[in-house]
Amino acid sequence: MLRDVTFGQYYPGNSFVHKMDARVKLVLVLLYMVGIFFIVSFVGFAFITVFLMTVILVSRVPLKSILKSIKGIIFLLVLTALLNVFFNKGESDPLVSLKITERWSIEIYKEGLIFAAKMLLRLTYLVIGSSILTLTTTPVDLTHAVESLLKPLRIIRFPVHEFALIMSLTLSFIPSLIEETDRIIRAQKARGADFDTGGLIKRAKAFVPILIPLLVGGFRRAEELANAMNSRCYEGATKRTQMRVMKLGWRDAVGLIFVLLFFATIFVVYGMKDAWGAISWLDWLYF
Amino acid sequence: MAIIKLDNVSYYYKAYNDDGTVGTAMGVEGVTLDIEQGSFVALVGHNGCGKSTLAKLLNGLLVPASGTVTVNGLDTSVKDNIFEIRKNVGMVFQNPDNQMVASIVEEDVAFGPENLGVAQPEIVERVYGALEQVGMSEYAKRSPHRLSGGQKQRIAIAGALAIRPQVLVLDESTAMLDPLGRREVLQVAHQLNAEGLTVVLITHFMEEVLDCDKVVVMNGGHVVKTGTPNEIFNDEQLLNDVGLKAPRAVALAKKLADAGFAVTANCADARMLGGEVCRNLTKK
Amino acid sequence: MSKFDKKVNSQQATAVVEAPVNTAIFAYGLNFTYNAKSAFAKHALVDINLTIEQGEFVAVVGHTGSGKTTFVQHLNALIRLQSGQLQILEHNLAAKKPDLKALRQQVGMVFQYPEYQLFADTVLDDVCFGLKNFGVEKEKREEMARDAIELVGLDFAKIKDKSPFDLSGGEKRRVALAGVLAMKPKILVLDEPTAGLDPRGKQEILSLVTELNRTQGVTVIMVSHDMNEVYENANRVVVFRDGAVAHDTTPRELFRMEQEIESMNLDVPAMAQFINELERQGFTIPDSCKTVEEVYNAVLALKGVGNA
Repeated sequence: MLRDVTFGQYYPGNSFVHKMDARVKLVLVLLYMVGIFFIVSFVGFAFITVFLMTVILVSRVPLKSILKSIKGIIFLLVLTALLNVFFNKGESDPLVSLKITERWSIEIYKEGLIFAAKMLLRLTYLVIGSSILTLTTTPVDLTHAVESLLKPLRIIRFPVHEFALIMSLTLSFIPSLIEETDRIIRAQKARGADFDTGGLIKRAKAFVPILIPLLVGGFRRAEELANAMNSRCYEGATKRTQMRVMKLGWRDAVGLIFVLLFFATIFVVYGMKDAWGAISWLDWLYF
Repeated sequence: MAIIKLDNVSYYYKAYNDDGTVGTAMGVEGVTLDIEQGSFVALVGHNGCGKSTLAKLLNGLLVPASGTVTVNGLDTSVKDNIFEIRKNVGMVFQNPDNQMVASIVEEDVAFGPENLGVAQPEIVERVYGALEQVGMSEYAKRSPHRLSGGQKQRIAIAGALAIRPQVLVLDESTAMLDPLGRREVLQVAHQLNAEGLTVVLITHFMEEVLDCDKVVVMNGGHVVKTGTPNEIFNDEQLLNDVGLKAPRAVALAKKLADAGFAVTANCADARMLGGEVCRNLTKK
Repeated sequence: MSKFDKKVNSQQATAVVEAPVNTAIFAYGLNFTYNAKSAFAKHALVDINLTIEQGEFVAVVGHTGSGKTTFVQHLNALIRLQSGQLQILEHNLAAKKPDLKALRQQVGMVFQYPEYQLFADTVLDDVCFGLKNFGVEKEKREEMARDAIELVGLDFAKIKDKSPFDLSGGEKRRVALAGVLAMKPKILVLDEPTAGLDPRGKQEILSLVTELNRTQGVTVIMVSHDMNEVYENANRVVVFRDGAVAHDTTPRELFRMEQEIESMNLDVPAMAQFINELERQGFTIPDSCKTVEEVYNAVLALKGVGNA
């Protein structure tokens, strides 16, 4: 059933990572995402693996939940890897060469395989990193974190409050929208609507009886919501206060230092590769 | 003292005529009404009679086309008054799912005080106070969508209370609820009224108006009668004309009284009525 | 008869309990679990045995989460049968590939707030949607739609080309109902058909449903929270509690058990309360008296006896 789809994938818990401030976690994940692109060698990925395992252990989120997040994008991962295998040419002779037509042949090089493997690792680790954030932070906290972090943008008149409000309203309307969609689908099915057979156009057409009631319902909801918000004295961001206070604690300091140190090392080792390149006994780092 | 005064108020909606031109459709017309401070007023009528239009005129969501609505003496048609008016007139609507602005109960209730610019410690105080008043304190950290309809409406009421209004308008807030949810909401409304809040209840369930101070019956955009619940229930002709029905027990009591039975007039308790009828039957 | 018996036998060789001839709905050992294989597994239906004859008017009541909605959705195969037997008219839903189209044509389903499912440009098109899906040819469609629209008490000529979104709430509900009735279902399943309507709108819908049941023999299954409505209209009530059938009896018998009803957070209808009180004090009111008018006349009759 549609309503069983859990949105956001928050895994309730009480761990060190759960208790960290959402803003700090968000910043650290962004840092992690940048950092991971500096990694160019398998040894580097081994470091990241140890790092991720540590974080996952501390967060007490089951590995299964984390792997689930990869399942959703596995197609994308495989596609990216394949494209990289086929389109990267190396300097040495190809490992495999398949002639398809006179002008076109498939050639697989060792470099292509290595590049694809690294790309695959990078994307997978990217997803794992961000899913640790969403697994340990409620969507509400994330919204608050985004609002808080974007605050400086108000100087350039970016509507930070409105942006956060839209996120928050979206979150609160998702469950009832899912339920409504579910109900409409059932109702049209009961009237003989068929969503599962026929060609592409026929199937697309079959969705009209779902989309129109949803749209009409959306307007009805929006009107009632607007009335409800106005009745509760909503007048935009001016002079608005907030109940939620976000406070940084010792966990945030510890987490911040741990992650920063780790990535400082990564940056020194891989970002400044040229400076170290001359030292041959450090070559293993770049394998 | 009247806290809300409506003086000859009319409101028309924009509507499309059959030929596609823009015309108007009447919402309400010539309504004059006082809502007394501390009273519990019911506004009844069938769907489309104008009662919801009237509700939205009470806090300036709609502004009269002619006539005036004043809240504490402030005219709703003056734009600068609107904020002050809405601080004093809280409103809860029909569909509980369409009024939630946050996916956590306490944050939803905090929305009003946040808009008022209340300082943070006081917001917390107001939010928890309001949740206490509607008996939903233990749900503060929950997500509203798993709650029952009656609980969601109580949270919507808490959201209005956190603004600390003098008047609470329930605009068909019980229409989508099951009997249990309706009882919950009504109980909260009566209890708040006992604590001094003025309550305006808009409904078409006649069972709900039994304990009100004043019932305003609307039909076709007009107020057709104002009176106590008893006065309204006794006017069978009126109820028939406007498509409403007295609660079954009350209707039976009236019929029996008319037939010479000694029963409490407008007795809403069918069990008690049964007892009284038995006494009549065994009298001789 | 033999036709469906054979079907049942071939699909379920063991422990087949035969459905009688005039049966509309026959459920035996029906179980249903949401999220069966996960930690959130929830047993929505537990061993439901229920036989409903054609022409009955059955009210289905119970608290939110009692299983009543899950049950009625089985009747239209909107929920696939998990275990047990379920026979709706001649359709055996335990079969590998039951003919869902034929089933859904015979079992009309009116959801809560059905007006929220209207979508077409005109009332006529919306009412024809089901007919079109079930393969009724064009000329016949309009005729059947006209019948249905007139049946729900709307003026066909006046309303057919209007947009369903321009109608009043009560009219929308009736158009939605016409969209289901147009298929001339033998079984009509209604989920709180009067929710949100004012007293007049409620009465219109209930009269229509009762009329269909009485004059055309349509089997009616109505989910309702309004016990007065149940009391006055149904001739049988099935009470769901914790996924099981807790009571299955006539409204009169059911509402005699006041404490039991109240323990389930349901209301005892006003007229039932009144009659129960009279019965406790030794007076009898015929079981057929349910409306205010009927009860009033019965009381007068009692008084007449007393006077004589």
